[in-house]
Amino acid sequence: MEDVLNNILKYTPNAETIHQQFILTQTKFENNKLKYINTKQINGLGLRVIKEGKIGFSSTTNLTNPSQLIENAIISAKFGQEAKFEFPTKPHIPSQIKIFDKEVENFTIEQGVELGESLIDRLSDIEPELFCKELEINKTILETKIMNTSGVDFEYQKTIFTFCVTGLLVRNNSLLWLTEYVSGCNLNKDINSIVSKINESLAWSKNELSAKPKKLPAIFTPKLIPTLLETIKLGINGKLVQKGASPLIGKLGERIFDDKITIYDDATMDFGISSCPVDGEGIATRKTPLIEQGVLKNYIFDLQTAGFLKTNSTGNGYRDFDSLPAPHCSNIVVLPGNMDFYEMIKDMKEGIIIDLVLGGGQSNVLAGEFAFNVELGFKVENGEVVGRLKDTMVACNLFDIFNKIRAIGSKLSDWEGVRSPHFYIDEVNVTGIG
Amino acid sequence: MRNFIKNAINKAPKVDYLEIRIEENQTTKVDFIGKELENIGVTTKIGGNVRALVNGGFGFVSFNNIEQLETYIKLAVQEARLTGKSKTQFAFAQPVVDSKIISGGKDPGEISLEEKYHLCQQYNSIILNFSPLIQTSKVTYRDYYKKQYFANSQGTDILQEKVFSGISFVAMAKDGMNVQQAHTSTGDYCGYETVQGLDDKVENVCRLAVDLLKAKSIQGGKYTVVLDPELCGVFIHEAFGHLAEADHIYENEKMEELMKLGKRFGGDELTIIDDATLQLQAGSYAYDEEGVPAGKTEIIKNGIFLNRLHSCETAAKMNAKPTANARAINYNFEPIVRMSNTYLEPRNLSFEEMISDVKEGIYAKGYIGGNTDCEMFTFSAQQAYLIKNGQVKNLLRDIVLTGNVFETLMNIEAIGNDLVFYGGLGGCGKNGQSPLPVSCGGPHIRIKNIVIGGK
Repeated sequence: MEDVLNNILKYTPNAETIHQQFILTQTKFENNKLKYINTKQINGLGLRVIKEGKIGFSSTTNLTNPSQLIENAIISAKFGQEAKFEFPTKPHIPSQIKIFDKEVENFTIEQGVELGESLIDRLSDIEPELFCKELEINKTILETKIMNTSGVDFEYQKTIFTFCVTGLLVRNNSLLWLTEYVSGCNLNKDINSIVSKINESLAWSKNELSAKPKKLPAIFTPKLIPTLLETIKLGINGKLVQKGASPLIGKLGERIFDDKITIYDDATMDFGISSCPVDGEGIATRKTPLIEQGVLKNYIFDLQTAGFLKTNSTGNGYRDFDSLPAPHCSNIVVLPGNMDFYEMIKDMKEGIIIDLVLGGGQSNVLAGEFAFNVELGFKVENGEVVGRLKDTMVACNLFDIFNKIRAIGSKLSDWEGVRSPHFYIDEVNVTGIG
Repeated sequence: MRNFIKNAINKAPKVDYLEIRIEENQTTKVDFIGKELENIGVTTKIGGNVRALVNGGFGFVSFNNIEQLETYIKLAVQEARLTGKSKTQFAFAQPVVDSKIISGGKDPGEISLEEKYHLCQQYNSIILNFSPLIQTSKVTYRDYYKKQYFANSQGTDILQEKVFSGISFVAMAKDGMNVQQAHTSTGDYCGYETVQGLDDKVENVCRLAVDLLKAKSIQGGKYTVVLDPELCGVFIHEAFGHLAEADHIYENEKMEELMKLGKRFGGDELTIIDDATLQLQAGSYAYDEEGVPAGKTEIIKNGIFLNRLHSCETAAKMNAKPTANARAINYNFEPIVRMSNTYLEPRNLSFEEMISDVKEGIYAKGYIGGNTDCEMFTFSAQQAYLIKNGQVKNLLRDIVLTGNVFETLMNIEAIGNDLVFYGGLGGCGKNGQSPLPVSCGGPHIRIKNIVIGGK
């Protein structure tokens, strides 16, 4: 890397390199059996330059021949976008964030096999016909090094451990898919919570019901929240704000949701899956309020989009070695409320619980429009779950439903980079298919 | 390189099966978003993988550092030995030694970066100047040259080269909080010509984005729906293609029962085909990632489920022949069962005939996305029109269609006489591998009782 930076000085004094290296070890089970053990190593270098005020970029995995990399970056700077920023200086990191776990590093393939087998055994104990369609245990060790000509020279190591299981139960013409996973920077082998969630879903699915077209109250589990929050992630994205495409432009300080809702972007939480000390440009990461008591607080920026709008980077310039930085959310955290999930169920006269959906991202997500097929959901009558919802479609608008909140759940769960409670919504539009 | 790989295989420890894939590729990107050129340049990647099979268990290692191939072979073998606890079942294909180039027309590698830049800039300015309601644009250009070496312990030794060109356009229109976007994408192995001369297409996208601002949402419910060829392709891909992939079935008796060969899934007119040998389509190839020569598979013939799509493993376990559908998006991934170019065979109805007797229905065109869980599927249309008494009427928006796989194919009432294939920059996603280049196609079709979600 030093070589590349030294060599590039012949062409321009402003350059940045990012080197990423990761080793992913996967233990994969299929159809109740150990199937694959994989090792994936990725090693690559990205080079960003500013030459005559314009940005150039190139990347390679062929680290033996950096001259091609330099040439490609310089050529692309001829046409590149005008740089609205200068490379930052050495970052000040206020406190150390825990993202490396020795226990993950030391976790062996044999332990992975054992862990997977024990989960499969537990699941076939509760339901012999439930097939572990896929079960994957992944361990990643990631090293990132960022250097630039203004004095940034920062590297960090991170571990990631994920454990994902998808079960399938076939009954007559009906397929029941159950998916659970845990993920984080630290070792989490707690299969009890996975087993008990699957057990509960199985019990609730014994009876199959279809819904009548109707407006009904709904409980969204934390698995549905990442899909819905796509609208917010897009709306607060500095790039969409810069391009005038975000529907949230001009709404800073305005109340857009029910005041029970508070949402943060936080790359500094210990062992969060997206946590890191600096972003892909060497800027220290931070905790940024997005929505506070329903009020829109901030957009997120990388250096270039912040430069366009004459503001500062929020430390959200994320990238892989083979791409330019762009504003992205890190860990999204929704603050809990005060109602327990089971209390919500008890509170419902007639309503639905939505856990997994199919086709969540296919409508006009930017405008907050959602229409999805309920892949796993349940019907509630008089405070009790009466069966699995089949052949049901739900349509809603995020800005609409997030202003009709009955309650927010008291417990948080992680799903797809979002830490969220359950949401108890006044009403959604339900369409029956059957 | 071919000798280097062959030598490595010859020196490798004895296992049931071993394969090595090494890829070199060069990608050119030009991205405009709004007024700004977001990204331009060339990136190079080199990498490879080893897959070993011992007693039914696989070991797989992928890497960038080609020089250490021998170390990685040892690691893959070690992993496979740890995994394998039963008997290897694998349909070993006939050994092949061959070289193939999947490329037509002008080589994008011969075109300067400057020319590609100007082409994208021209399309981008068409979008930005179309109307004051257009808020922003996105033009994404990609070409790549991919050189893939494949060899296995059976003696297969293949060099496959692919030259892809593609571009996609997004126009976004905005009126207060109302944001609507429209897009189109094209991409295949037909050469640089694929991305040229698309001004009309770009204008259509702009017009649609602006028109969608005024379009009405639809009342949720059951409708008779006419799908255009693009949506027909996506529908086939999602509603049945994925279920024909044998890895969903091969070790699950209940699923096999549910998806028995010989079972009727549609009317006599329904024929669904997967064909990787079509010339230069986005899902075309000469050999799959297990070195099996590409072929044409009749999945459903005259309504009857005839064939599944297989890898060498699923074929062996289900007493079938490999269909050359083991594919991987790149060297970081092991091959899994995937579609190639999947289409519904056309019949003889014109579009006019098809809508003439529809009292109230929906004409849905262009696609945003699709998903399936093998029982239910969803897919969304970019634009849709009300059909009233045989006539196409006003524009509708937010159309997500859904249905049950086992019922919906039976509900196809009419099959058109046109056939169009769609490739593009996107592709298919499965088991974390996305986007895999595929193409989908078909004629216009009419389906009854499709559910559309709405208010």
